[in-house]
Amino acid sequence: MSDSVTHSPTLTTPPLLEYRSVDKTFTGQSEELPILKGLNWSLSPQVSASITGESGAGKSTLLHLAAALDRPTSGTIFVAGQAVSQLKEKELSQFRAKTVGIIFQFHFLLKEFSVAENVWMPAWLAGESKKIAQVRARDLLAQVGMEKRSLDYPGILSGGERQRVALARALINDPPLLLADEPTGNLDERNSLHVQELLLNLVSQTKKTLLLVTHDHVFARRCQQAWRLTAGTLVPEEKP
Amino acid sequence: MKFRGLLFLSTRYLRSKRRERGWSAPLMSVLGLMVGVLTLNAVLAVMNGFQLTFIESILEVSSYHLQWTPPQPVPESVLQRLRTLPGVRAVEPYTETQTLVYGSGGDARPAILRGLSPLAWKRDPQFAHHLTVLAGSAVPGKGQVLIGEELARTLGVGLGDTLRVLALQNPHFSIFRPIYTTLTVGGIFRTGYYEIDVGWLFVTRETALAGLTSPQEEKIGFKLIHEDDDQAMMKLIAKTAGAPLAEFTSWRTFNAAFFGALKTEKTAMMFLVGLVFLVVGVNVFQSQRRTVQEHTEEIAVWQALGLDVQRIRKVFAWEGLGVGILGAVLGTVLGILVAHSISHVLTTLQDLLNTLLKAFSGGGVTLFSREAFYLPSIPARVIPQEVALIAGFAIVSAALASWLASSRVTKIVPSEVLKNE
Repeated sequence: MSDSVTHSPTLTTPPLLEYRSVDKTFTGQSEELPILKGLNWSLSPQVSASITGESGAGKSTLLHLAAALDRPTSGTIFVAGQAVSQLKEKELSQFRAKTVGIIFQFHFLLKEFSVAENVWMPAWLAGESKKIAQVRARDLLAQVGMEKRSLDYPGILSGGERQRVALARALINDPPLLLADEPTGNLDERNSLHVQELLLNLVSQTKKTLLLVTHDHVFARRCQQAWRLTAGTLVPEEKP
Repeated sequence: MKFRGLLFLSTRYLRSKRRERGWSAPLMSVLGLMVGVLTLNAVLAVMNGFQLTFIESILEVSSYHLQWTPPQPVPESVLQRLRTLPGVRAVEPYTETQTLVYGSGGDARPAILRGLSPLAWKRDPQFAHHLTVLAGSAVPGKGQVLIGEELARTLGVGLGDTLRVLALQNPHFSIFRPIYTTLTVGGIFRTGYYEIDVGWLFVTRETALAGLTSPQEEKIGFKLIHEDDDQAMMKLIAKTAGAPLAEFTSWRTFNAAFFGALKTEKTAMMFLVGLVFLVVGVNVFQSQRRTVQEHTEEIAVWQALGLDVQRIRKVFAWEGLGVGILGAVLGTVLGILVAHSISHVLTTLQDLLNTLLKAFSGGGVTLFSREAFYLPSIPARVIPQEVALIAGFAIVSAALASWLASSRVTKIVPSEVLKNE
């Protein structure tokens, strides 16, 4: 993975992710809190980009908007050519299942299900045959080094192991866009480096587009693009 | 999401709930529903048993499903034509009069005397079936009378004894003329319905027309294959007979008050016992709300992974449906078993109570008295449509409660849940 930082998206191919004049304002009990202000930003396919910024700047919100887990106050978000903020409930589910894979800071593995089930179930429930989903899950778990723990339950895994399983789960439906919300934020240094390596290698090997939110500037710079969210908009991260 | 997928997730959450909270909540819901279904089935079966014994006795023995009061005697050819109509089970001409009957002791009792063709016992097998003959002949001979068991007992007469019958004949529809006749008891019957057994006499038409009634008073009684088709059949019969509809009366009209009271009684009982479903519904609702609340985070994750909220909702609503089906099946099976052996159940319960009471107070109780109810045993009649209705209601109440409780799923905003964590 290159350490070089590019400050502009590739313009030769249509972007996979695009924020067009996006505003996002949260309404509190007494005041309105603007998070994103007229954001225009795009990310080309197969490019990895990181976003850093202060806590509360709106980094996770940016990611949730791309995953259609939240809707913008105004403006439009396009993912793979689809205006996601205009999708209806059924279409949203299809979109979330097939187009994006999400990794959260707190893994959010389902404790009632084994490691393998956590990985193959999203594919099965999205319409894939159980056998194919299980085979694909086995491969992905092997790629993240968790194949021997596939029958274990998340409760007995370490933080790093859980995050590796979460990475496999995010890739099970082979989505073009991978969204990672501080995936190493909860890990010690050794595990953090391990997860970083896995994530960036898998993204590179499977030719995914990655949008990474992190507080870790070293990790951020390992992406092809590095951006900083400040005052409701994205600015290129300055080189150290 | 496929059905199997839904079931897989649902059973897994049920398993986790059992691990965390034990089986008590779903088990209590199943038990509550089972008891409700059992009770309702057993109570209704016994109620049906009592009511249908009365209703069938009335319809089959005394009132018919339809009555036609023609202004003049109907030719036999017309009756033959009416007998061939689809939906008609029996057509019987009869004469009827109110009488005072004197027994050997001189006591007088009011009774309705009906004159029927001797063929009526053959042409209308249900009439013959409900008129259980205890002594003598089923079909009275000339000058003989078939008397109800209770009336015979009250008058102190037996087989071969004579009765003096006073009737008021009204041949010209203006002046009533008292007529005294002496009849011999040719048979004693029992229907199981006290009012008939204490107040009815049957003679042949020939005996009745020999002074007690006149041919002008002849009516035609109709038995239908489906008594609920009375209105349509009334029109068909009137049209076939070429008679005005006003000359016909349905069983609903001449028994309206009594049948209405029985129906009200049954509805009230169904409602009261059915309240248990409300209690179970609240139990299922509370339990399911708690489950959804406890799984808020997982629900948000499922949404992020691409499951739409309505399907996630179904995952949690399955439990209610499962509780409903299990409770309904168990309750139905046990309810039918109890209904079919209600006499045995009551006898056992009575013996048990009496054993206990004797030990403490020396008293005793009777849960079913043959004399008080005028029935040899407790009649129970299971009506499949009612059983299906009760089971369906139990399933729907539990499933609906669960579905309503799972509406919380739709209120979960994944971005808030996942971010706040």
